[in-house]
Amino acid sequence: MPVKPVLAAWARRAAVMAILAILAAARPASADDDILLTLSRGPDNVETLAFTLADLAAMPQVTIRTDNEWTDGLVSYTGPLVRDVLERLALQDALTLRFTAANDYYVDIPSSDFRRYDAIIAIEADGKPLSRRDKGPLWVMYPISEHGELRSQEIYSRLIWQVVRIESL
Amino acid sequence: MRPTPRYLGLIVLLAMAGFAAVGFFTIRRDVEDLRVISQDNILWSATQMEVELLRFELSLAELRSDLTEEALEDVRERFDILWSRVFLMSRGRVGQVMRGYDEGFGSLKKIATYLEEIDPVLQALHPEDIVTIERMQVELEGFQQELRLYTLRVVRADTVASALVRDRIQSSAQTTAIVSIAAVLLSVLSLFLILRENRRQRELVRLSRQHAEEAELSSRAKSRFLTMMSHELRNPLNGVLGPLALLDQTELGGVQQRLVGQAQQCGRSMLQMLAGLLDYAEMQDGRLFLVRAPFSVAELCNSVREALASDGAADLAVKVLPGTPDRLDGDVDRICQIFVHLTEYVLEARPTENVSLSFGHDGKALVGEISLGTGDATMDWKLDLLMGLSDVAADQVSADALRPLISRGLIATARGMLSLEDGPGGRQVIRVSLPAAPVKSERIRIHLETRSSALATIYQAALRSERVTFAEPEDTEPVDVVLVDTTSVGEDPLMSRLRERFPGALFVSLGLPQKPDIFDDVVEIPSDVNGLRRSIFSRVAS
Repeated sequence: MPVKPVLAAWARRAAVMAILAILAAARPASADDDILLTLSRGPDNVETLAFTLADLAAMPQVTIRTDNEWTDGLVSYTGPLVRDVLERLALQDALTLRFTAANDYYVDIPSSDFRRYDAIIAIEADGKPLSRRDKGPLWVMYPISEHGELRSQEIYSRLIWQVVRIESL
Repeated sequence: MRPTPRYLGLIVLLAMAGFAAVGFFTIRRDVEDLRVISQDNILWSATQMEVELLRFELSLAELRSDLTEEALEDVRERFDILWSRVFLMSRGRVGQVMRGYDEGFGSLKKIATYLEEIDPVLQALHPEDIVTIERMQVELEGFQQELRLYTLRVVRADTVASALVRDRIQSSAQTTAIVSIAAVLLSVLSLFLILRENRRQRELVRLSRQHAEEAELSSRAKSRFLTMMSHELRNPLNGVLGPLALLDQTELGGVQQRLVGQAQQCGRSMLQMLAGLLDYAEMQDGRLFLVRAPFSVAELCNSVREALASDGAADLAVKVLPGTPDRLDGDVDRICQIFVHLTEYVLEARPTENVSLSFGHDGKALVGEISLGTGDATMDWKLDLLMGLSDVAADQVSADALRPLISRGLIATARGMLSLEDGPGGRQVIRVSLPAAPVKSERIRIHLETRSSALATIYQAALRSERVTFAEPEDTEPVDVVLVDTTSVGEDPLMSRLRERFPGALFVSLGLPQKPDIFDDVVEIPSDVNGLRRSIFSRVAS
C-alpha cells in the first residue's frame, strides 16, 4: 500500500478539518448553519439524521477520478460513499431514494445504483472543498469514467449538486 | 430455359442483408439523436437560471422588508446558487452548448459580469442599506428580459433540432419502407428463381430417367440377342466339331491331319468365344449368379491346367502354394473360368515359359497370382486393357477386350479384386483375390450293405474320392454313412442289426424301400450318382 497517498489523504483531511474549524470559530455558532445534509425515513419521514460537513469528512473517504458534463477533463472527487451515508439511517434497503437540492430540485434514484457503483457524496474536488458557487458543498458523483454504461443522460441527471436532503420513498 | 447462375442466390442474400443493415443502423442513429435532444440539459439549465434569478430578487425583497441578518444570509445563499447556475457556461460540454446559444447576444456574459460586480458589494452589504438593495433590485429587472430571451432562443433551437430529427426519422421510415419493399421484391424474385430452377431440375431428372430406361431396354434387348445368338451358333458349331473329331480318328495323311487339327482348334476357340459372349450378355443383363459350394483347390488347379493344356499351353506352370487350405467355399467353375481367361489372355503377350500361375489363400480369400516375366514391351497395352486402364467404350468392344471384360465382370460379381503389381526380379504379377472361406475337410466313411458285388463295385467307383472311403465288410470301426441296398431281403432285422452295429450313422436307402420311415434318407433312383453324392454330403454336413 503506497504511503505517500495515504499521508496526502490524511493531510488533506486534516486541512479540511482545520479550515472547517476556523470557519466554525469565525462564524456565529448556530446548529442550522452546520447541518448540510438531512436523512429521513419512515412514515412522514419522522426518523431523521443530520450531517454536518465534519460528520461527512469523518467518514471513510473515497476518491474517484472522473469527468462529467459540467467540468473540463478529469477531476478527482473525494467524499464518503453514498451507501455508507445511507447505512447511518438504514436507508440502504429502501427501493428508491429522493435526493433534494438547495433550490428544491430533486431526483429519484434507485438504491441499487449505490450497491452496484461506488458513488460518493463529494465534498472536495481536486483537493479543494466544494463551494456553494461550484455545485457544493455536497455533490453526488458517480465513477462515470470507470463504467462506460454510466455515460447516459439518465445518470447525468442523478449527479445532483447542492444536495441537502435524502429521503426514502 | 437458361439455368439460373448459382451465385445469383448469394448476391440476392447479400443485397437483402445489406438493405437490412442500412435500415437498422439508420433508424438506430436517429433514435439515439432524438433521445439525446429530448434529454439534453440545456433547456433545463436556462430555465433554472431564470428561476434562480427570480428567487434572488425575492430574497432581496424579503431583506428590504425584514432588514435582518438572517434575511441577508438568505440573500447571500441565493446569490451563490444563482452564481452556480450562471457560471455553468464556463466549463464542460453543457457550458459549451450554453455559450453556443448565447453567441452574438452576450446575455450570459452580461449577467456573469454583473454578478462579479455585485459580489463584493453583497459581501459588504449591511441589512439596513436600503438604497443599495433597491438599486440592485432595479438592475436585476433588466436581466429578467435578457434571460427570458435566452431561454426562448434555447427553446427555438431545441424545436428546430427536434424538427430536424423528426424529419430524419421520417426519412428513415421511408427508407425502411423502401428497403422492406425491396426485400419483399427480392424474396419474390428469389422464390421465382428457385421454383424455376426446381422445375428445370425435375425436368432434367425426368429426362435422365427416361434416357436411362431407354438405355436399359436397349441393353437388355442386345443382351438377349447375344444370348440367343450364342445358343444358336453353338449348336451348328458342335455339329462341325463332332464330325471333325470323328474325322480325326480315321486314317488321315499328315497334311489332312494337320488341317483337321487346325479346324478343331479354331472351332474350340470359337466355342469358347461364344461361351464368353453368353457370359458377357448375362453380366450385362444382371442374370449372372454365382453358385457357391465347397471345392478342392487341387481340383481347381487341375481344372485350370487341363483347360490351358487343351488350348495349347500344356507347359504352363500351375501350382498350389504350401499352406493353402485343401477346400474352399466358392463357385469353382467361375473361378476356373476367371483364371483360364486371364492366363490365356496374357499368354498372347508373353511366351509360356515366362508365365506361371499359383494359388494361395490369405485367410479370407483365394489369391491367384499370374507371374509374368519380361516380354514384348509393345504388348503392354494388353495389360492396360486387362486392368481397365485403357478406355474402351461399350460400343467399341473388340475381340481383345472380351476376355478382360468377362474376367473383370466375374471378379466383380464375386466381390473380388484384380491388381497388377511389381514382383521380384522385375516380374509383373496379376493378382486376383476372391473371397473364399476355408471349408473344414471331413472324411466320410461309408459302409455299403448289398448282396450284389457288382453294385458294390459300381457305387465304390462312383463315390470314392479324397473325402470318401469305404469300410471293409467286416470292419467294426464306426462309419458316418450306411448305404443299404433295398433289394436286400428282410429289412427290419437287417436294419436292427445295422443300427446296433453302427450307432449314430446316417442310414440311406438305395432305392424306394418298403418302410421308408426306418431310414434317415431315401435315394429313389440310385443310379443318379450325383444326386446320391449330394444327399450324402449335405446330410453329413447338417
